[in-house]
Formats: sequence, structure tokens, C-alpha cells
Amino acid sequence: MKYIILILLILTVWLRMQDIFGEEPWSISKRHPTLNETLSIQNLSPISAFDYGFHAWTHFLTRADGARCGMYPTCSHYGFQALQKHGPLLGGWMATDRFMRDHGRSPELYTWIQKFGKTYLSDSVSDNDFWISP
Amino acid sequence: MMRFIFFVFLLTLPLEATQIPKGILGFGNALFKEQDYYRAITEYKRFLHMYPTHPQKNAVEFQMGYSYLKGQKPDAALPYFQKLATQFPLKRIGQDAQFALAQTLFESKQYDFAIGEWRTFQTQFPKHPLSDAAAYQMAWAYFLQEKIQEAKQELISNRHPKTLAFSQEINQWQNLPSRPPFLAGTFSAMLPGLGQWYVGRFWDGMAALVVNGMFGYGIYRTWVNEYYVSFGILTFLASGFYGGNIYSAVNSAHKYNQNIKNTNWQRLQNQYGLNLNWTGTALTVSWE
Repeated sequence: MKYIILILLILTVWLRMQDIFGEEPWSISKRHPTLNETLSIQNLSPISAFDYGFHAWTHFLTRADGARCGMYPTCSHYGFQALQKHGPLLGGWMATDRFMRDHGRSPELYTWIQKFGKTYLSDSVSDNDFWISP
Repeated sequence: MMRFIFFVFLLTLPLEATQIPKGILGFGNALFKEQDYYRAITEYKRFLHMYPTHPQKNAVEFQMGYSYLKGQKPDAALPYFQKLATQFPLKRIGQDAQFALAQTLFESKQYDFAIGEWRTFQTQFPKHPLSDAAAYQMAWAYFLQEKIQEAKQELISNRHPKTLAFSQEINQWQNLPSRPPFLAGTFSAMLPGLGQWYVGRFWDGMAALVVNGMFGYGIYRTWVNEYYVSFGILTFLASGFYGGNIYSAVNSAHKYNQNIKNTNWQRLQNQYGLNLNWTGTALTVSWE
């Protein structure tokens, strides 16, 4: 029974990965080069295991339990951007730093921003690496 | 009688025509006064399109650049000032444009280029009424880059009464409170969260302590209980969070220092900032 559940789980994840990274009628691919939308994560090619991790986080976990990050960009997007900009080591530290700061108890340290009809605390990657790459 | 009235009507037509450019400019200026720079620029563009050879053409072009500058679009203002400064270096409008060009670069935070333009302005037009203002603004440009000695040097020969007080404020710059990032990082390396507390971020420090403490406990328990795979996974994850905790402390110290500087720059800008005014014929400055 245990093995059947495991196989089903792997199959589901594999099918879902196909859904995300595989080609869809409106996906941006070599077969459909004319579609040139600027989407946030979907446009960026996943190049490392970390990127896949963030894709999985955004596409599985967030969809399952809903977006709850109080900051903008959300922690997963922030982590993704930090990894893209600074690589796995520094980007990873920036991402974990952000996870630990997303407790919502110090709103006075941030500015408020309106996005998608909700209010978020603004905290971009450039707010936190200005002393590394001005 | 009818012929006479018609004749008078014909005579008044050119008078009416001369009122049109004034009307457009007047409307543009009214919009400018309301700080509706975007619409004011449209009126100025309309004026230049309809009367490309009007005697006030250059002044209107200056006004357009100035409107962009006031509307916080310095990149759009640059070409207008560049053109006027290049075309009329011997006229007041060209010299004012040279000053405004430097001011535009200053407001786009291109301080070195701004200093270069003001230096050119001072060298080419030493008798210009804005010569002292150019030196003062150069001091500001150095000061905003934290080049304290250079800033003070620019203020030495300046004759404006505010210069001395501003110079004293610049002297105090080194005494601003600051938190050394290296120290904050070291604190957090010794005890997660300590560096964040050092820079006044209590809850960030608490979160770092709790998260890293839980990882530490988990690592200890898995090691004691000989769950070596779990131990390896936890150690890998914990090292990321431990590094993140140190990064957080260093980053927070940098943000603390930057906030202090920004607040003080803003205060000094309000106290010792210099405001440009375009009167329609000449550029003047007011010392706030």
C-alpha cells in the first residue's frame, strides 16, 4: 500500500512538472516563438535545483495553501530573484534572511505598497543588496 | 458704413493673431503654476509647433526643460538644456542652461557629471550671478557622495552667509551614530539574532534565534539518536539559515547606517538646500 501511494505521488508530481515545464498550447517555446509575454517566473528558464525548488513552492505549495506572504515581492519570488542575481550561496542567504524577517511584527521598518488589491510591506532585493551591488 | 466696419474688422485680425501665442504660453504657465507640468509641457509643445520662429522660442524651450526637471523627469529635461547651452554659450539663456544642465544631472544622482558641468560653468562664466551657487551645489554633490574634504574645499571661497553653517554641519557628518556591519555580523555568528538586536531589530533577532535554535536542537537530537541521514539534511538546511542570520545582521547594520544618513541628508537639504527659479527670462536661485 505504501509503495502504491509513493508511486501515485511520484506520478502526480511528474505529470504536474510536465504541465509546468512541458509545452502547452500557449506556452512560450521554440515551437511558438511569436508569443512574447513577460511573465515573472514562467519566462525565466529554471537553471538549477534551487530554481526548481522555488517553482515547486510557487506551483504546488502556494496553490495548495494559498498565498500568505505579507511582503512584496513574496518570499518565494524574492528568493528566486536573489538566486538569479547573486547565485546559490549569497542568494540562498538572502532568501533565508527574508524568511526570518517575514514575521509581520516590525511594519515600521518597511514602506507599505498596494498590489493586487492588497497591502504589502515593500521589500525588494535591491533594498537588501544596495551595499553589495549599488 | 458697412464697408468701414469691415475695414476695421480686417485691421483687428492681425492684433488677434498676436494674442494667440501669448494665450497658449499664458495657459501653459498657468498649468505650470498649478504644478501640472505634464499638461504645461503639452502647451509649450503646441506653441513651438505653431510658432517655430517666435522670438520667445528659446525661453519656451528652457521652460520645457525646467518643467521636466520640476516634474522629476530629469532625463527628458537634459536635451533641452544641452541644446540651449551648446547653441547660445554667449547669451544669458545659454549660460543658465549650462547651470540647469548640471542641476539636472545632480537630480539624476549623476554627481560626478554634475560637478563636471558646474566646473565648466564656473570656468567659462566666472562673473555669472550663479557662480557662487555652482560652487555651493558642487559642495552638495561631493557631500552626497560623502567626499567631505572636497565638499568643504568648495565652500571655502563661497561668499553666501549660509555656507559657514553648512560647512559646520558637514564637519559633524563623521559623528553620526552608526553600527559597524562587521561587528553586527560577528555578534550574530556568536549568537543568532544578537547582531539584529544590536541594530535595533528585536523581532528579526528573535526569529533568527528561534529558527536557528530549533535547527540546532534538531541537529543535536538526530546526531544523538543516530539518524544520520536526517542529521545531514538538517545540517545542510541549518547552515543556510545560519548564514542567512549573519547576512541579516550585516544587512540590517548597513540599512541602519543608510537610514541615518538619508534622514540627515533630507534634514540638511531642507535647511541648506538651494532652489532654482526660472523667471521666464533668467534663472535665479533661492537659498532656503
